[in-house]
Amino acid sequence: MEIYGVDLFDITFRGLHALMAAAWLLFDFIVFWLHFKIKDPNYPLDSRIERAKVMHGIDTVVAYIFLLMLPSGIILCYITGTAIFTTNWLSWKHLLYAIIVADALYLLPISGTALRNLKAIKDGAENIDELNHEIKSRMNQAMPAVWLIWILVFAASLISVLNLKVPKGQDYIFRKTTAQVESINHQNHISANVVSDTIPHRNFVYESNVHKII
Amino acid sequence: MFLFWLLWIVVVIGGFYMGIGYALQMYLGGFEISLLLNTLIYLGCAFFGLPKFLKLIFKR
Repeated sequence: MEIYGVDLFDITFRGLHALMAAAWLLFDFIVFWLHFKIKDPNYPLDSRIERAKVMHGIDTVVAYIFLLMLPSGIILCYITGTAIFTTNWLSWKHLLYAIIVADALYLLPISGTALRNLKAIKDGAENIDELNHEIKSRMNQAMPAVWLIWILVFAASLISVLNLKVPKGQDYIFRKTTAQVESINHQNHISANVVSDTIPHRNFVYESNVHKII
Repeated sequence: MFLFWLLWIVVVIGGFYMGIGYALQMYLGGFEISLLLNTLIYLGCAFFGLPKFLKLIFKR
């Protein structure tokens, strides 16, 4: 379906995929920012619980974005005519996503610890110090993995931007394909041979001019 | 609960789809480090998630 020459299906999926990546980066940063007060035992308990609830909610949205990124990306491949397994840049991007999946599986048992422990403290648990210590140690344990995900999503976005395609014709915007580069090199090679074959005196003229200058 | 279903569907089915796809590509097109790493990590995640996914299905 097209409106004013714009393929709506194409542009919707591209926009959705890009928006998901942007939201992922933003929400991950918000979660990172919230966690400082949650793990701080000197901060009021009610505020910590409130922040933990918000963090948990945002984390759920991030989880949906993370899980829907793969199917939306595969659909986008079909729309833009990009071969899934034979495109070199895409295989590196998939590798980054694979590391994110492994990272998420590592983070899975850690998630929810803060909210669970804080609720236990509010309900009158006796081992408050132990629960606070668990929140802090679990969050500190998760931080390198969270940062790794953030960096990998950013790198994957960068790879996608550098390999953007024109909606009509699906040619790359910022770079040429290997076939195009080879074709240009081939053309240059032919024209260089033609020049050297047809104008043999050019070097001589140049050298004689240099000789005059000297 | 829906999130858990989605998680294991993506990890297991997506993992097998990507892992087998890259393994086939490596078999047909020759060795490349990115293909090997993709195959190993995706299949690894899929095999890791498979028991949990089956548990989720048969526990219902």
